[in-house]
Amino acid sequence: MKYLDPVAISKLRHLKISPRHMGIEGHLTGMHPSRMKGFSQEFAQHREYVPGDDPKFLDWKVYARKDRFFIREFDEERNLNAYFLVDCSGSMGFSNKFDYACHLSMAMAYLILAQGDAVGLCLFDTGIASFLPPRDHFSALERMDEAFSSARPAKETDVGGALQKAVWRISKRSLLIIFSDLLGDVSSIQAVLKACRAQGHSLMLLHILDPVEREFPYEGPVLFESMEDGSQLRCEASLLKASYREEFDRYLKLCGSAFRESGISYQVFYTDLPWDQSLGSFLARA
Amino acid sequence: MSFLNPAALWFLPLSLFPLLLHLLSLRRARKVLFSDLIFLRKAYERARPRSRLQEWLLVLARCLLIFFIVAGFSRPLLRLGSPSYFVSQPEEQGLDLVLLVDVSYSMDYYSRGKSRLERVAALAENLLKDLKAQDRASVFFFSDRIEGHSGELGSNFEKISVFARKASIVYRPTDYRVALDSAYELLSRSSKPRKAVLVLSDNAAAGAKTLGKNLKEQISFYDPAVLLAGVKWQDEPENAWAHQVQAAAQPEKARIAAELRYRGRGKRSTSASFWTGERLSGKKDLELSPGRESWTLWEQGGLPANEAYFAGKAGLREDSLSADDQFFFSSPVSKPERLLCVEGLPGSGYFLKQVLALKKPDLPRLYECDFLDSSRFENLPLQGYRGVLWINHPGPSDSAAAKLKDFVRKGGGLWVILGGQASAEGYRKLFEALPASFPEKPLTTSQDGMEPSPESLPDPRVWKFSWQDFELQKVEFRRIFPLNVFPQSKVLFHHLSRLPLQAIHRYGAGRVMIWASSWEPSWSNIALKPVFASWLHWSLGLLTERDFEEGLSLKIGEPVVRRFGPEEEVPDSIEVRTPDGKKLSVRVHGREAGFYETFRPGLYWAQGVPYAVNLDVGSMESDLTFAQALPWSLLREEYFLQDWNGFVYGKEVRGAFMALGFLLILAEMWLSKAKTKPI
Repeated sequence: MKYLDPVAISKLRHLKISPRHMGIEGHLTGMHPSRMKGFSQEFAQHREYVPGDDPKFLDWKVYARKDRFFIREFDEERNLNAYFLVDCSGSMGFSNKFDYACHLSMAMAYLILAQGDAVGLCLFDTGIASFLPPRDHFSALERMDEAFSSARPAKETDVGGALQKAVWRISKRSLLIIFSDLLGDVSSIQAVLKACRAQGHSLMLLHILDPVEREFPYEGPVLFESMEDGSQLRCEASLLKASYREEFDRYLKLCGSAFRESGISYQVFYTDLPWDQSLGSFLARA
Repeated sequence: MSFLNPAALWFLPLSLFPLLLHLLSLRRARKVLFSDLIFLRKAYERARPRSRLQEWLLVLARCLLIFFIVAGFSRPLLRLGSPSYFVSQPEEQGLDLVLLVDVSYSMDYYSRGKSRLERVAALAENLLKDLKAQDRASVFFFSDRIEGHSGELGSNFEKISVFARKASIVYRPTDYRVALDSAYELLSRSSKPRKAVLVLSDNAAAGAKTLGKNLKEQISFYDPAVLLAGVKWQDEPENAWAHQVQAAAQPEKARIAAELRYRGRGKRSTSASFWTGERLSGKKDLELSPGRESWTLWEQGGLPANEAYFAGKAGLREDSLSADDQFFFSSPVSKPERLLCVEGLPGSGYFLKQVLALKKPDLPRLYECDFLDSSRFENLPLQGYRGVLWINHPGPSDSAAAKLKDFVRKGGGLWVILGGQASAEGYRKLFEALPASFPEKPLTTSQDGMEPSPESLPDPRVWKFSWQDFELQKVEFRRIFPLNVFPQSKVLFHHLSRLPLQAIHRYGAGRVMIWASSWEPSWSNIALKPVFASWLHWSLGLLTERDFEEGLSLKIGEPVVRRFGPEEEVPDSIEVRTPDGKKLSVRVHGREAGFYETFRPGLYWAQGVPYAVNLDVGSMESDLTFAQALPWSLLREEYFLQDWNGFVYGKEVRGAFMALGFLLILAEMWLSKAKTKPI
C-alpha cells in the first residue's frame, strides 16, 4: 500500500483511538459504550415501569423504598463506525498536504480496524468525490489506499457543503474524522459541524497545513496562482509578508476558538512534522 | 553650480538604473502556485498603498544614491557670493588679483598676540602662495593715500610676497575710496575675465566715510565684474584714545586739559597721565564710558623760570591700540596779561586789586593790573595793555572816549563798571562802543540774585568751577542801571527780575563789556561773595579773549616750519630733533626753514622750539567700530583660504554629496530591511 507500509504500522504499536463521551450506534456488540440502552453490565439509569417491560429488570430495592416500580437500564456496548472525510480540493495539492492527510487517515484507519471497528472513507471537494461505506475488515485499508492513490487534488473547496452531503449518507451516529486545510468560510464550516454534533456524530477535525503557508517565505516580485480556482495575483512578496502573516494568524485563532467552542477535537497539523509524531500527540490529547 | 571633474557627469544616467531595474522586475515576476490566495488578497488590499509608497521610496533612494555618488565624484562647486559667470570661467585663464593692505595706524590694534597688520600680512602671504601660475597679483599699501605699490600685475609671487612683508604702520587715517580707485584703475588695464580686489583692512567705519552705497558713482574705473572681498574679524575691537589735549602755561602755573574717548562695551577703568618732557607730572585713575567724552584737567605749578615752552604729552595707559593713547602738546609759556584799571573815585578798584593780588592755587596768575586815576588817563599810552577796566566813572571825556574806542578797535578790551558816578549823559560819547545803553538814574531794587545766560557756562576745559558751585541767588543788588542791550550784544548775566546785569559785544577787533551795577557794597555785595574771584577771572577771560593757546600743534604730515622774526638772527640751517632722537639739519630759505618728514607723532624740536605732532584725530580713525555696510564680501579670517577659494572658484561640496549618498545608503538599508523584517 502506498500510504501504509510495515514501517508505518510499526510506529502505530502504542497508539489507540478511544473517543470519550461518544455514543456509538452499531449492529454488533463491541467495546465502545453506546447511547442505546440495552443489556449489559454497565448501569445507565432507572426508568418507571411501563407495561410490557421485562419484570426481571425491576429494581426491588427501589420498590421497597418508594412503593413504585422502576426498571434498571444498562448502556449497551456497540462497535464503532468511523468515517474518514478527506479534503481533496486543489489547495490540498499544495506541497504534500494531501499525502500527509492520506498517511494520517490510513494510520488512524488501521488503529480503528485493529480495535474491531469499521472504517469508511469520503473524499470531497465541492461535493463528494468518492465514498466507501464502512467495513470492519482490514481489506478496507486496501480500498482506502486505492481511493487515495487515484485521487488528484484539483478543484475548489466547499468544506461546509461537502460535509453536509457526506453526513446525509451516514445514517448511524458515527465518528467523523475530517482532514482538510479548511480554506473557506470558517463560520459555515462551523455551522455544519455543529449540526453533525447535534445528530450525535463524534467529530475530529485535523487541520492540515504546510509551514510555507504559515511562514510565507517569498521575496521579490512574484506572480501567485491559486491552486483552487487558478486566479493570479502579482505583488512584491516581501512587502506583503507582514500583512499576510497577520491575516493567517488571525485565521488560525478564529479556527481554534470556533471549533473548540463547538466541542470538536481540533488540531492543526503541519506537514514539516512527521505524521506519526503529530498523530501520537493528537491521540494522547483527544 | 559648476564641476571640477565634469567628465564624471557622463555617468549620471546610471542613477536611473534602479528605476529601470524596478520597471523590468515588474514584468519579470516569477510564477508560484499557492494553495489559495484568500489571505494574500486580503493582505494585498490592506498593504497596497503603504507597500507601493515604500517600494517607490526605495527606488527613489537607490536612484538618488547613485546620483549623489556620481555627482560627488564630479567635484561640484557651490557659488558663494561670486556671480555664476565668474565661477564658470575656466581656471586656465587665471585670475588678476589686487591686494589692498591697510597700513593706517588703526591696523596696529593688537589682539591674540598680533597686530591687525601682521595678521593681514600673513593672510596676504598665504594667499599669494596659493595662487596658480596663470594668476597675476599686485599689492597696494594704503592709508588715506597710497603708501606703496608692488608694481603692475605680475606672476612673480615670491617678489610680491617680499613686498607685502614690508608693510608697516603709517600714522595716518584710512580712506578706502583712494585704495579702491587705484585698484580698479589697475584692473581696468587687464583683459582677464576673472578679476578680484581683496581689501585687507580692519573694516572700521572711519575709513568708509567717503564711500557711498553706489561705488559706480565714486570709483572712476568701477567694474561690477570685479569681485570685491575683505576680511571678517571675529573680535570686536575696543579702544580708548586721547582725542585732544590743550595746554596753557605761565611762569607760575600750567594747565592741561585732555579730552579722552572710548568705544567699546561697558565701562573701562584706566589711568590718565601727563608728562612734561620725559617727566611724569600728573596721573589720575578714571573710568571711561562708551561713546562719551571725558575731560581731565591737570595743573602744574613751579615751571622753570627760564623755560620758554611748555611741552610734553598726555594721555591714557596703553591699550590694544597704543598709537593713539598719547597726545603731544607744546605751548609757549606766556606772561600775565596787562590790564589798566581807571578809577572814577579812588578805591573803586579795591576789590579788583585784592583778587588779582591773590595767590590762590586754583587760580593762575593771569593778569597784572595797573591802577590809574582818570585824570591821568589821557596822557597814558595804552600800548602793552590788553584791557581797560573803567570803574565807577561819571563818563569819559571826548578825547578819552576816542582813545578808548581806538584802543578797542585795535583789539583791546574795555569793561565799563557803572556805579554811583555814572550817568547816561556822561557816557554818551562812548555809547556807540558800548553793548547797551542805560538811563540817567539807576533803579532801586529789593530783589536779590543773579543768573547766567544759557551760553555763559564756564568752559570745562578751562575752568574747574561751574555756576552751581556758588549761591548766585544770594548776591544782593540795591541799585541797577536798567540796560537796554543792543541786538547784536550778548547778555551774560541777568538779575532775577530779568534785568540784564552784564552784556558784551565785539567792537572792531576788540570787545566791550558792561556791568549794570557797581562793586560798591552799597550797590551790590557781589564783591564780597565767593563767586567774585571766579566770576571776575571768567569775565576778564572773555574780555581779553584769553582762552587756551593753540600752541605749536601740527597733524601728522604737516611740516614743521620755523620762522624767524625780524630781529632774530637767521642761521644757514637749523637742527631738527625728531621724536626717535635723530638730529637732522634743515636749510633755511629766506627767513624760514621747513621740515616735512613728520611721519610719526611726537615732539619735534626745531632750533629749541618744540612742535607737537599728533594723529589726525578728526578722522576718527581711532574709533574701530566696524562699518555697518561695506561694498565687499567678508571672508572669515580663520578659514580665509578656504573661503577665498569658495568665493572665487566656488566651494567644493563633494563631502556634502558623499554624506548625502551615505545617508541614502542608510535609508536604502532601512527600507530594504523593512521589507524583509521577520515578525
